[in-house]
Amino acid sequence: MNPGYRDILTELEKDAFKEIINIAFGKAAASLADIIGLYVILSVPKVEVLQPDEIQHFIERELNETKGLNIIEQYYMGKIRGAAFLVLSYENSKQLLSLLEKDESKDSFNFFSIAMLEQETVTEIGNIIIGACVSKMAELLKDFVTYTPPRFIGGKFSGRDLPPKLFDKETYAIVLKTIFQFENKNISGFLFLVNSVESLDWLKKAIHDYMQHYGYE
Amino acid sequence: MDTNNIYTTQICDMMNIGIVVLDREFKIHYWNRWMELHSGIMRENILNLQLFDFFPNLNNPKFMRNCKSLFTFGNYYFLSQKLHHFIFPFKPVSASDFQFENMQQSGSIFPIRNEKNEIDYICIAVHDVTELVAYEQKLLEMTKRDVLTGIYNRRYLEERMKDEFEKHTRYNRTLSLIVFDIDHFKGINDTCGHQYGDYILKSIVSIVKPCLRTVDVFARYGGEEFCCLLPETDIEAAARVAERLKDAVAVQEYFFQNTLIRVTISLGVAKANENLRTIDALFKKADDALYEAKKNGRNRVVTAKI
Repeated sequence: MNPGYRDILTELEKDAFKEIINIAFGKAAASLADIIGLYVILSVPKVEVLQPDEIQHFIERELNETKGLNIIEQYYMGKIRGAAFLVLSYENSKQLLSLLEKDESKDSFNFFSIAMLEQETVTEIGNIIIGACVSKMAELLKDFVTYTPPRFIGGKFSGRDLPPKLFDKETYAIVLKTIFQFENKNISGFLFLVNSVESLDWLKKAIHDYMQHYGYE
Repeated sequence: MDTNNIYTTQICDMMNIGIVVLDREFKIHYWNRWMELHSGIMRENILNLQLFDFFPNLNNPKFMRNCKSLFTFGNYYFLSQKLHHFIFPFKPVSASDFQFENMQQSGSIFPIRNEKNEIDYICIAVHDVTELVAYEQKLLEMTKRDVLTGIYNRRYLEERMKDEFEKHTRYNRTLSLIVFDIDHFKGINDTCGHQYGDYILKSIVSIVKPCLRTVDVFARYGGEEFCCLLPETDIEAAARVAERLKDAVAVQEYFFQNTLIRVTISLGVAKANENLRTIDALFKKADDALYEAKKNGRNRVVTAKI
């Protein structure tokens, strides 16, 4: 292990980055409510700098339960790139259907098994939440990203779900974890963004630009 | 949008997918040749007009929600054929696809950014997957059917028995089972040949089938053994159905080389109850009753005692 790898960002940089993410997720929540009509509360994100082989362990530790999960996985690419994992329990996935307008779900019930409708709903809502959080994060870092189609994984989280090409042994990963909760509904889940730090110089510059702009420097 | 680029235009027109570009007001800014071909609407008649005026089916909350998300967050929206069947209501292309009223499509919608990385447009890409879905359905159907008689096979029967038995144990739903078998079928095969035996099997199926409801599961269990799974049916009603089947088969006359043949069936009837804890136990109960019917002289129904 590379000694001091956690120090690739200084304490100040890390705090600034946390703040950027916090603001980004706040903006994401606001846009979700204003534009899409999804009322989501996003917790203050936890930020960790990890080596690739630690990521799986970290995510497993942060989840209370590693089985009985529905996961939406989506990759994004820009100057910042990585993988997003939105994690919901089976129970919460079921309840997600109630977020849709009543007519909408009733219509679809005629054609599909409930299991399939659930899967589609989780994928759709997951796609939107991931898009909101990642795009706002990228926006504050003056970056923009493109996405792969979301992929539904039913069952459990496993290290195999991490794309090996994205994280070779030499790079670091900045892992963000937030808990999201739908307002007035007892539905919550986790969102992990695993960012590959290939271009550390770019990230540091983006953080410093932000700090300068807000008078930290 | 710069659609004048000679190469891009050619590529988009030659590709075997539909491409539509929309602005924030859902006005159409690009419509490729595939879309012209399948919609019958020429480019010049649709450009700069509202998508929903032509395709009101897309004016729904789900489509709007996802398009708004695309314009705001620049993400990606995938429309699966399984859930949507189609995006644009087009006719299927080939004559063999007429089992579908509409061309089956899957599609994706993605953002298009300008030089400043702002999203002014989104693009819908549509694939025709009708043939694929037709194959999938055909294969699915084939795994359920008996090749000779066209009724359900043992695999499907066992699947359904599991489901119906689950409903019975969970929600206390009534469930009855008839097992029957053709009397002296081996003799028919030996004297008249297997082809005639096959003919008898098909004929019996065509006699029994109209006597059952569509909710009943009628399957060929093995050689000359058949099962009728009757959901929501009490044992008395099931026994009446069995009697009807027995009589319907017995009156049919067959002629083999100018000799009259009559074919009969023996039937066993059983009902799921708290003493029969598994589907196998229910099946055995009906099968034992069938054995009893055989022993007592055939061409009869025996109802299992609870």
